[in-house]
Amino acid sequence: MIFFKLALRNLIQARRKTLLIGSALATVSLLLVILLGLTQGMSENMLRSATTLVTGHVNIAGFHKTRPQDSAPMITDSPKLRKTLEDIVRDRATIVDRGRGWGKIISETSSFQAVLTAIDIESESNLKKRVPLAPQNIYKENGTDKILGDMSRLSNPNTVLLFASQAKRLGVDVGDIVTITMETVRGQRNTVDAEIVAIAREMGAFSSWNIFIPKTLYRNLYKLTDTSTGAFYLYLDDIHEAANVRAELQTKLEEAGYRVMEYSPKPFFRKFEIVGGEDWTGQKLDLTIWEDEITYMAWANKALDGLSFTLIGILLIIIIVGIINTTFMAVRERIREIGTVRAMGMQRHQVLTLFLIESMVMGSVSSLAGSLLASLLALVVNSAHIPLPSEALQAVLMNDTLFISVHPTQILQTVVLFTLLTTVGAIWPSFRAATLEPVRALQHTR
Amino acid sequence: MSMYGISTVLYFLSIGLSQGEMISLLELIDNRQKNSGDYRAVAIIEQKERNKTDLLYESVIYRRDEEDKLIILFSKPKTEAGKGYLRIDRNLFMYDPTVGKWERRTERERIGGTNSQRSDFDESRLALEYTPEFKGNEKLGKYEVHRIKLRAKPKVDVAYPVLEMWVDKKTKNVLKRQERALSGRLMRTSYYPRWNKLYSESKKAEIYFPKEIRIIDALEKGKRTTILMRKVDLKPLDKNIFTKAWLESQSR
Repeated sequence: MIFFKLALRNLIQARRKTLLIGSALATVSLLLVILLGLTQGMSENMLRSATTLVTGHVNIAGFHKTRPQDSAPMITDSPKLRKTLEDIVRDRATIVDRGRGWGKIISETSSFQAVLTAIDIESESNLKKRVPLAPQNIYKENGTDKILGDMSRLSNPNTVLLFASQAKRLGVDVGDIVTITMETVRGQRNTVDAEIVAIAREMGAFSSWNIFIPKTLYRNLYKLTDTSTGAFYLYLDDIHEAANVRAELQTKLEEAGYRVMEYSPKPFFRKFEIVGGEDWTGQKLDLTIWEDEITYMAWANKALDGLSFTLIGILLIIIIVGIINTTFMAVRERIREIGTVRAMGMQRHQVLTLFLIESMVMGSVSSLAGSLLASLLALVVNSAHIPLPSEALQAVLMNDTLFISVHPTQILQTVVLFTLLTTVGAIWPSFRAATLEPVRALQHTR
Repeated sequence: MSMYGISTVLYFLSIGLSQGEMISLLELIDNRQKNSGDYRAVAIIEQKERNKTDLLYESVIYRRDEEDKLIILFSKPKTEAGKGYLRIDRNLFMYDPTVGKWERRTERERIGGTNSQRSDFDESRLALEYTPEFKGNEKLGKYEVHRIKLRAKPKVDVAYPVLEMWVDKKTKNVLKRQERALSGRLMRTSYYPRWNKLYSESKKAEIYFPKEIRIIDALEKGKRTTILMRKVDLKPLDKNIFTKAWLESQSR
């Protein structure tokens, strides 16, 4: 305890130096927390965006083949499968089913290809909560800041929900009509004119190639029966259970008499060619988890991880060199002081402990201050909804505004890391200080 | 002339084709384009689209109709050279030399991303795939034509379930064709302003082919594709040409 008091007194006495080094450490820890927050934010955005737009935590999809060369991504008898799934998962998950299609969206001035996600808006409470509608000025020049449209109108048959960048590309607004054209299971072209009933905010890369249509429209376009759907999405209470639940379902569905494809951790659209080349007809189920359906986005995570790793590495090297240098300077400045305390009877290990505690206190207090400041900054940035300038950046960061996610664990990690680094960095200079002969130290002149 | 007489004349002037005559006409159109031997042609595909850069491709078409085989091999521009499509029976594959991979594509693949389709380059199968319905005799520009509506036969896989054709009464050449979606919406209008014919040694008859096809997209305004057929050659092709290995070797 006495060493803590001494260390604190020393730090307070040299307050200018302490403040200077402390602020440098706090700034670096602030940068580190912000960097970690950005990575975490992107990761959370990706999970939120993916599980809202393109996948459940666990997916029970399937392929139906009337001829061996077909590969239609659909389940033909969905009520029976839903019942089986409900019996297996009971209250562990919420079950939603969606249709899956692919088509071209055409306006008066432009067009683009998109995944057609068919939903029953009444049963999509999560979607309504997680997909905010965009004010008109986001997708239209000289538009107002009012939100037009209403997502619940997707219950009407020939309607469509677009995302802001899509509306911008097509030059359309709520109430306009777009033409959707696609190929049926048998390869015939079909079209429909659909009214835009809502335009949502960007949710990253997934929202650039995904649109929502009502199930009635999907069935009408593809000429399907009322019992057909694309996939069942299971939303679990604990997403970490996804792999276990998938494995359990694989076994139990096979036991229930379903033909289930061998597990392949790939998104469904990467299986068309494989399924089309297999020599079977009828229905087969295909089970995946959310990570499998977005493997094509793994590059974005890897790139950001790589960038964070490099930046954090550089930061850490700067910190270690800085700490060693600072402690060396401190020791040099305090050689006579060390001589005095040694002459008064302080042992070598006690000198070493005193210097290490000083560094430790400096590291922990500064990094805590820096981390707390970073949390505050994140809070301000998130509530300011700072728009991301380019569509490419929005696609990579999976949001249309800057989002920094700081968690208490990140603050704890940063404080522990900095305390450890400052302490370790001070070992060598402190050891040099402790090994000084008292007589020589007292004779030392600046 | 009495009213009865005028009506009788008008009736005989506008009299349509019977079901049998229409089927015979479709068979004639199909047979005239079908070669019992091989077929090679250079196709220049140009696409113009509003607010987009024009696309211009040169490709070589190889056909062996008896075996349902087709190759579309791109030769220009340089960036697309070596890319190709191979149709064997009902399967269409696409090869991209930049990644060295084959991909299965649907029969309705847009060739090179243009509005042209495999069927624009392949043999005609109208009599096999569609049931005709006579719509009337009309004038298309200076030409007297039969207007025939075609509906896809049940369980036959075609891109457009409904077609309308304007066939020159005199030459029996297709001059205009409209393709409609299941919903009845007009998707494409194609014009065939020029036809040509070549004597085929293997068939011992003349083979007809359109020298030019102009495709107008009915959904995307301003999107037009022109296909020009050049250097049509009916000499026998190498036996092993319709293989993945051969197509891959063209880009090495």
